[in-house]
Amino acid sequence: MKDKKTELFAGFKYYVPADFEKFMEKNAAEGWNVDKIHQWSSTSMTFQKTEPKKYRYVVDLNAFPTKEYKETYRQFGWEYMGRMASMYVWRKEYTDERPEAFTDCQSVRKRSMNVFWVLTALNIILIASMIALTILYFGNYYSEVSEDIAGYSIAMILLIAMTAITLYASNGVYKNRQR
Amino acid sequence: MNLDKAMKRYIPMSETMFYILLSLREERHGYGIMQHVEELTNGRIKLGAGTIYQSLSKLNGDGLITPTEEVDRQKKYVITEIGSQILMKEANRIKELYSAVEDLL
Repeated sequence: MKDKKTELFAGFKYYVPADFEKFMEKNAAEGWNVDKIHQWSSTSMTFQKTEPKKYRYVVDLNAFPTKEYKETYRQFGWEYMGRMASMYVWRKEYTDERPEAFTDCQSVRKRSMNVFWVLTALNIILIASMIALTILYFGNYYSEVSEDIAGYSIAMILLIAMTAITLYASNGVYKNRQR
Repeated sequence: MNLDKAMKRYIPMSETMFYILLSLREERHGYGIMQHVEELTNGRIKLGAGTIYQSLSKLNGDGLITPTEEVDRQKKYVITEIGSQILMKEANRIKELYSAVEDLL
């Protein structure tokens, strides 16, 4: 029997924080676990076969954590799994009631909105890049720089695709902000 | 933050914010607040780590509470003068609510 499996792009597939948590918990219940979350876990994550575990996972985007951020979670019995960029991942084993790190609707919403704003910032950067690229390209229309229409088109198609994906994700996070 | 601005931002406040401010009339760290609030509400409210961290950051940033000392990397906080004024305003508002529901029950 296989004792390892690799999940690709889990961090992108489950861009809604609550979905990523559920995904990790479902795997744990089926006996697939990770010891640590790494910078690139969102792209590729290897699970080891273990006993089935009842874990509660929590994903918390914190761009500017203070010194006591981790200590607060640890005092409440959360195990620090690691982070993907500013996405902190915590877990806690439990028996009866699934524990929560965000216990009122304001803080649940704030947790989601942190993700939403990061995606929105990314969107603005992507759109600004498209505008800058277009100005650069057509601004130099009569010079030789502009002969590379293929290069311009490929860059634009890539940027448009990334913008579409980011918009789709931020919309999904916003719609699910109460979860 | 001055009182007017704080009132606009905090009144009315969530139950979480209210109980955190109430707890910080005595200096406490995050976990201590959770225990105190659980006791006050007979186990009804069990504040989570994320909620406490978010709330303390917000209250501290707006000057309603202030850090006192740090024990084992855990910061303790206590309510400030402006925090106390906000707490009193909110308490009066709740008193008004209370008298409004008294006839109801």
